[in-house]
Amino acid sequence: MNRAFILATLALVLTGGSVSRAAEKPQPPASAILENAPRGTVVFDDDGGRAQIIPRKTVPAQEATYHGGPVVSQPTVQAVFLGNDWRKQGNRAKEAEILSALRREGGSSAKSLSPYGVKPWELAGQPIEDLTGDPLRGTSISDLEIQTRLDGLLGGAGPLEAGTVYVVFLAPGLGSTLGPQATDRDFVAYHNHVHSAAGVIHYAVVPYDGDLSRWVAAARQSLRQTVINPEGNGWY
Amino acid sequence: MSSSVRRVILACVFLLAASLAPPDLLAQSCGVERWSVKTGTDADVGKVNLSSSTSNTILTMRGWPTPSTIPANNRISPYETTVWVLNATLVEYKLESDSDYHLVLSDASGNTLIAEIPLPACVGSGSPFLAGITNARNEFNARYTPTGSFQTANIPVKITGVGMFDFLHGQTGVAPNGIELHPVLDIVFNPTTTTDFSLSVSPSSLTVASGSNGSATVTTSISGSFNSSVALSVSGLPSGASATFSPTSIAAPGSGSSTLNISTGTAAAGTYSLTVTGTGGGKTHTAPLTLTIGSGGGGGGSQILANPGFESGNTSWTASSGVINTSSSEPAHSGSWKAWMDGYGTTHTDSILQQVAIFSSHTTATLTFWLHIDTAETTTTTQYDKLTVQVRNSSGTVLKTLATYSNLNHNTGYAQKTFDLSAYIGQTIQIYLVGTEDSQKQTSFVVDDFALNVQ
Repeated sequence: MNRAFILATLALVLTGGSVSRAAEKPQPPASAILENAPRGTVVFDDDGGRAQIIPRKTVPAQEATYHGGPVVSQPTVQAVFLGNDWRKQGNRAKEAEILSALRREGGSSAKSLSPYGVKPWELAGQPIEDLTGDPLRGTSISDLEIQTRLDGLLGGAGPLEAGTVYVVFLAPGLGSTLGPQATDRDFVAYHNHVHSAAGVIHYAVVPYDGDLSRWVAAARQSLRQTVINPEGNGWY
Repeated sequence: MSSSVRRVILACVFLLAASLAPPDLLAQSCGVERWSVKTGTDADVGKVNLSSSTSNTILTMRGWPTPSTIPANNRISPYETTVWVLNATLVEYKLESDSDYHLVLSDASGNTLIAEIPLPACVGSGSPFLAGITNARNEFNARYTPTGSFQTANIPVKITGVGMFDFLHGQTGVAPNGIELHPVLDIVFNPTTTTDFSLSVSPSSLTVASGSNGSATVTTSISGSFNSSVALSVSGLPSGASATFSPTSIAAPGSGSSTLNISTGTAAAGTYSLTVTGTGGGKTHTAPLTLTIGSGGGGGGSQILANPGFESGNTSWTASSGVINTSSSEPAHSGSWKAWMDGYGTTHTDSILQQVAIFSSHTTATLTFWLHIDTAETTTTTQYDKLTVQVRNSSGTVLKTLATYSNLNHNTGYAQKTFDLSAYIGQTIQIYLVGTEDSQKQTSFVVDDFALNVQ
C-alpha cells in the first residue's frame, strides 16, 4: 500500500483547500508535536500538557503536515454559554447570533474538512448555560476552571457521545487564561481536551468579541481545529 | 425535558458542587484529570502499600506496557499501587498553573520521566498521601523557588513517589507510556551514597503459552560499599509452573543480571502476580512481574516466544513507541495486532526486541515471521530504507545479522521468512529487528506472527 503522506498547510485546510486524506500513522513522540508545530500555535496548558490556540497576532504561515491523527468524523457541536453576563437581556440576542452563524458554518466547513473524513457538523438542539457566576478570582477564567465546570456538568451524566465537541462561549467581559497565555494579548480562541469519568471532553473556548464577524471567525477556526485535531497530535 | 428546566438543573448541579467543595480548593487552581488518583482520594487508594517502597529505574518504568484504558478513579496494579524509589537527576522544574511542581527526571542515558508534587491545599484531607506530599513540597521549597517557567537544576536526587499513568498530551519529559511519580512523597537532594543494592525485572510482564517457556532479565545494581552476592527467588507461581534463574544468584559485589526462565507446564491459564526477590548483604528488595498464561496455542509446547503475534498488545516485546498497534492502514497478517516500523517519510528509526532463552535440551531452533514492505520509493537500485534482523546476546551484542531488507524488497501482502537458530541453543538471545528510514519517501516494514519453534 502506498502510504506517502499528504502534505498541506494548516492554512490551506482552514481556508478550504482540497487535499487527500492521509493514512493513519502510529502516534509520534510528544516532543515531535511541539518541535514541529506551526510557531506560536501550540502552548503549555494549565497542567503542563499542550493545547492549540488561535493566536491574536497573525502568525507567519508555516507548513504543517497531517500525520493521520484522529478526527471527529461526525461532529455534533454543543454550545456552552458560560458566565453571568449571559443573563443580561441585551446579550441574549448575541447568543442567537453566534448559534445561527455556527449552524450556517456546518455546511460550508464540510467542503474543506471532508478530505479528512469529517461530515458536516450539526448543532445540538439546546445550548448548555452555566450562569452560576463568574470565576472566583477576578474577571478571567482559567482553563482548569473551565475543565472543572465541564467535568461537573458532564462527568456524571453517563458515557459521552464520542462525536460531541463543546464550544464554550465566554460571556462579554469575561477573559480567559491558558497556562501563561491570556486572551487579551495572546489568543482569540483555543481548543483542548480533558478526560472525565464519562469520557474525553473535546472543547473549544471562545471569548466574546464585540465584532461579530471576528467572533464568528474565531469560533469557526477553533472549532475546525478541534474537529480535525482533537487530541492535538494529528498536525505538526 | 424542556431546555429551561435543563438549564436550571445544570445550574443547580454546579452550585451544589461548588458549595460542597472545601474552601481551600476554591481558593486554588487544582488539577482535574485523574486528580483523585494523583492525590490519593480515589477508590483504590487503600491498595497502595505505603509501608514499603521498591527501588526501580527510569528505564524499567518507561518500559511498562501502556494501559489500553486509564480509569478516572481507580488504580492499575501494581504500577499505581506501589511506592517507587528512583535515583535520578532532577533536570528541570516548573510551577504549573494547576499548582503542581512539575519535575523532569533523567537517567544517565537521557531517558526522562515526570514527577509531580501537588500543592497540599489541593489534596483532600483524607488522603493518606497528604503528609508525604506536604513533606516533599517543603523539602523542595527549602531548596528551590519554582515559577511558571522551567528552571534548570541538574542535581542528583533520590525521589520517592507513587506510580501514576497520565494521559499523553505533550508534557515536557513525559515517558512514552505516560508513567509518572505522582505524587512525590519524599525527595532527597544530593543523596549520600548508601550501601545497598537495587533490583529490577524486564520486561515487567510476560505472556507465555500454556506448556511453553518465557524469560525475563533480572538486573541488580549496587551503591556505596555494598559487596555481597545477591540470592534470587520468585514467588507467586501458579501450581504446575516452575522457574529457574541462570545464574541462580548475582555474584559479589552484587551487580549483574540473571535470566529468569519460567516454564508454564500444566499451570492453568490466567494472569498471576509474581514477586522476584533478591537477598544479600542483609538487604532484601523485590520487583513485581506479571505472568499471563495463554490457553492452548502453544503449538504443542514447541513455540517459545511470548506474544508472538502481538495479539496481547505491547507486552513481552521492547518496541519503539507506537510500533505495536492495530491500525487498519497496515493490516495484520492475522488477528488485529502487528509491529509496524517506520513509514514516516522522514529520518526515523524503529525497533522491536524480545529476549528468549533456548534451553540446551533442544536440538533445533527455527525462527519464522511474516514480513510486508511497502514504500513510496521508486528506485530499483538503491536501498534508502532498511530493516535489519539480528540475533544479539542478552547484553545487546550482535551475534549475527540474519538478513537485511529494504525498499527494494517491497511486496504486496506478506511473505514468510525463516532462519535457523540452532547455533544459539543453550543461550539467552535477543531477537532484534531495527528499521531505519531516510529523510524522504516512506517505507513501512510490517512484521507479524513470529514463531521460534524448538525441538
